[in-house]
Amino acid sequence: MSYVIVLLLGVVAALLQSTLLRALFPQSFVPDILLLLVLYGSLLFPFGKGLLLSFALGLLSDLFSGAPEGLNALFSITLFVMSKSIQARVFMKGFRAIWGLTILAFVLKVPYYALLSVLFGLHFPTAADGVLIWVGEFVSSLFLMPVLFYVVSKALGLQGGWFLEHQGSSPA
Amino acid sequence: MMGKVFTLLERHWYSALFLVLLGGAVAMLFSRAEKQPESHSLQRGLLELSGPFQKGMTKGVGFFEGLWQRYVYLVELEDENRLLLELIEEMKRERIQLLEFQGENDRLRSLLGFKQDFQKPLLPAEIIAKDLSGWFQTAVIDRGTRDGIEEGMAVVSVQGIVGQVMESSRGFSRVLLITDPNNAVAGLIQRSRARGIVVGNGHQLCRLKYLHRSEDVKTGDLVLASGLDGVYPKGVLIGTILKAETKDPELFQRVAIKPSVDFRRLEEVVVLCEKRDLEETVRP
Repeated sequence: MSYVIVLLLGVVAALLQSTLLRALFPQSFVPDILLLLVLYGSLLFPFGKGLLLSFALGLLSDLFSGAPEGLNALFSITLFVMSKSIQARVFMKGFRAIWGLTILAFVLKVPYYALLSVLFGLHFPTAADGVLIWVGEFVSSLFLMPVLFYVVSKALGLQGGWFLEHQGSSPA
Repeated sequence: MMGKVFTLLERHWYSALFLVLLGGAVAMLFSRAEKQPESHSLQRGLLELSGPFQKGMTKGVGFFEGLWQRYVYLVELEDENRLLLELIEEMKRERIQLLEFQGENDRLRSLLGFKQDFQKPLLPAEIIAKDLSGWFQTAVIDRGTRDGIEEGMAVVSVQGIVGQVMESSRGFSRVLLITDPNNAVAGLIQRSRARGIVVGNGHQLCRLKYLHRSEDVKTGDLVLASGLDGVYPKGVLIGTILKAETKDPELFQRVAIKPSVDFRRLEEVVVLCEKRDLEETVRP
């Protein structure tokens, strides 16, 4: 059930982001809410269902942004698997874990887009313009992260709020 | 044999699931890259489902913006009113002048035997949502295939070129804006008639590519659609030259264009409901 709640939160977030948030915030200051949900899901949920949820959230991101289908879905499942394999080697919990994963995700985004433009001929903004979009997305995602996790934690009925101890409070 | 496969899948189902999803995502990317029409069906479905919600939210945002502008932001209204009255007077003078020019143009065209451009059906539409991320520059409008919209149709506003329809569901369409790097418009500089390709930079501006270093271009020059791409009608405003520079070993100039359309405040657009093709556009 908690997977469905996170997916529904993703749909609501996408609807809000494409309408209200775009009207309120500057053009390049757009957080990647669905990516943050994928990272959060990788800490909260077991592999199988978490992977399916990541794929669904990534696809949702593609469909709402007009990006080629599969672009964010592929990135989301790759990130999910990377996050899980890091968690298998390093003990991760709390707010610092999700913060570290967010930085990793945004660092990986750059070579991923570069690779896609070579393999599939997709056109992305040039380095000079892309860096503005990247920084805006990264900074706004970092700002939004605590608020989003508070909302998700409350929606899932988890204990801990802002500094959630993920591994001790995974939903059933 | 099948038993062995099932045992293997049972033991490594995590990897199997990951590989299936990975294959699915890559297949979707390939189908989109090869422009297979069925690859749009998911987008169309979601466009149709999410459109009414996005329209409702945008109306709500518009309502509160209107409240703010009408009741809270009245301080500068008097100055604005005075400026608008001056602007009306100036536009009246310009209109008279333009009517003169139009008459003269009509006479010259008939003399030269030029065919008049046929009138295209224009369909007004409202922007109800924008793209999720900053990486792709798209917008959703509240008109779709039931209104006669097809993929590839040009979308303009009173300020100039907005973009082209990239996919349509029954009631809604997604428009690829000219500021997206995947969009290209055949453009020409009004003053010098130099031609190039206008592409988006993904960040509110455009670039004029393939403009030879010897071409005459200055800051403030107007850039218009040349009509050669078969999508946008000739003469529609794209923007103004913001900066042009020539670096020594390079054959082409680096030209930045500020689009005439303010995409942050754009609310209403017009869809040109007749697809143009190259034969119509290029005159001998």
